[in-house]
Amino acid sequence: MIEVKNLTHVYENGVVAVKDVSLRIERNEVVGIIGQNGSGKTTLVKHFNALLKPTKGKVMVNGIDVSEKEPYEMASLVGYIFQNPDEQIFSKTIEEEVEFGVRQIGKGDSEWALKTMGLWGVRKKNPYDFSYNTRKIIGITSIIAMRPEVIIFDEPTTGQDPGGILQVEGLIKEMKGKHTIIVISHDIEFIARNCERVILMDGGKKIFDGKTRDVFYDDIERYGLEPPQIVQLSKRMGLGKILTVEEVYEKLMKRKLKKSINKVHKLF
Amino acid sequence: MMIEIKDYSLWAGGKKVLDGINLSVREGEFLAITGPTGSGKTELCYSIIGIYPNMLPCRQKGKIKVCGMDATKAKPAELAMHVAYVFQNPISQLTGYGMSVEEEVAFGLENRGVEREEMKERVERVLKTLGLWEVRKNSPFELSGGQQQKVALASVLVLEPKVLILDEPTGHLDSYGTRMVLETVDKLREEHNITTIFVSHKFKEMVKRAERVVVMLDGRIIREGKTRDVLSDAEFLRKNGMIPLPITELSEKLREEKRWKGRNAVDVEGFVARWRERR
Repeated sequence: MIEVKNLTHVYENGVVAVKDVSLRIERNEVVGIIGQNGSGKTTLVKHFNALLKPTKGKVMVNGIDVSEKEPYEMASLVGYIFQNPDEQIFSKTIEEEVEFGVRQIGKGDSEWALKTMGLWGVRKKNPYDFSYNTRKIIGITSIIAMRPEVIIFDEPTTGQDPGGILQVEGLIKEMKGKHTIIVISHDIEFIARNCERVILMDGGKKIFDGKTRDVFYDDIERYGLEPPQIVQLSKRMGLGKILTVEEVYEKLMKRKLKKSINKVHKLF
Repeated sequence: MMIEIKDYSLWAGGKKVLDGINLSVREGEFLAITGPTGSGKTELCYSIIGIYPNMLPCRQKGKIKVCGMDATKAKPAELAMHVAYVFQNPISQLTGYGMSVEEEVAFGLENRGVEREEMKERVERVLKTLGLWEVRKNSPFELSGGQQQKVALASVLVLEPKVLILDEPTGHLDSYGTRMVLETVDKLREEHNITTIFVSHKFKEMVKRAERVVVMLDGRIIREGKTRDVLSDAEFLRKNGMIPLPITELSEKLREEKRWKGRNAVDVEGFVARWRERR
């Protein structure tokens, strides 16, 4: 369980990136964090694994005060997957890269991770022989190999092609219910498909925090965000708070059925 | 035609990466190119701006004509006078750690010997349009990924190129940033009739502005056509590793129940209009 109490973070240059944020994320929740560039999303989550220390306030993970820890001490509990894989990758082979963390913390399963992410066949190769998309998958693999309880994906779809996006989605589905998953993303459609809860940040503050369908039906346009296509459609057609293609389909089919019944009633 | 590619093939890194490409892009057109990773999109763009063969070793066959120049033979500096490229990763484009945003954006103009007053005016205009005016004295490396992408875009837009190639330029941006960047491109495109090639996976953005879409796979063009025709073909997209828009999937699902006729919708407006029409 993650508990953030009145967290404020001020960078050395005076920029206040997070302002008095409090929240609680329960074990095994899948939470999306959305907001414009510079809204404080990444700064917030970097406190979960001690990459940043609070200027004010407190962050507790499973009862541990993170500000008293170093990132390596948090690695077995919280895995942070960087937006840019090149900030994370340093080994000569994919296998070494994935095994590094497992060796350091003394737990995990690199073979499982490599096989799950489809990298087993190329594990002896250099990560930099591959495209950015694949390096992103390597970054994800090296974190999930450590089997941390909390996994943070920072912009997992940025620079990914649809195949990569589907692969990450598949992974999140597989890990649901077994890990706490936090996804920072600009990809609203990805958040709508994968997260049960959404936190919206703006100017370092938490603006909305609730069920995905409640947040997306609030006024997120005001914060420069475009709602998912299905939400836009539902608002136009008055279909209620729905999020998926299947839900719209059912609504439209039910409407059709209701109209047919009404017509029959009128005949009698 | 601003760009004309005829029977073009490219061999690089010991393999054939482009195979028999034929493509024409007219002046002022906004063309989208999509396809999975490794399909040859970037290699095609690199060929148009002369990175192949000038900076990367390769073997070429066929012709590429850009702004009347033979891109397979022209010097990079000649091509760069007319063709600008915004890279996927903004860091690849930024010049140096010692420069401010303002200096970074002015760099290309300085190299071309543009008069000081004109340079100042052009830099100010593009920085203000892209919302970078407030951070003009900062180093680009202090900015967020999204803001760095805007700096990269500003540094090429300020050159007012005839051809603009955007290689996933909005990948690091939120929807507001994406809209702002593309609306800026739209405005400059209208003012200067810039021919634009937009390499992306963002179908929503393609629907809004691209007249045509080219789909690439394994170094070949496997489909070319009007944006709405190509992106509404959910079966084709899925078969080739792409994800159709939710609205397209919905239309297709309704079609299975005989509740939808004709081409699938690709945007909300199109769906609502067609749904009401059929009632």
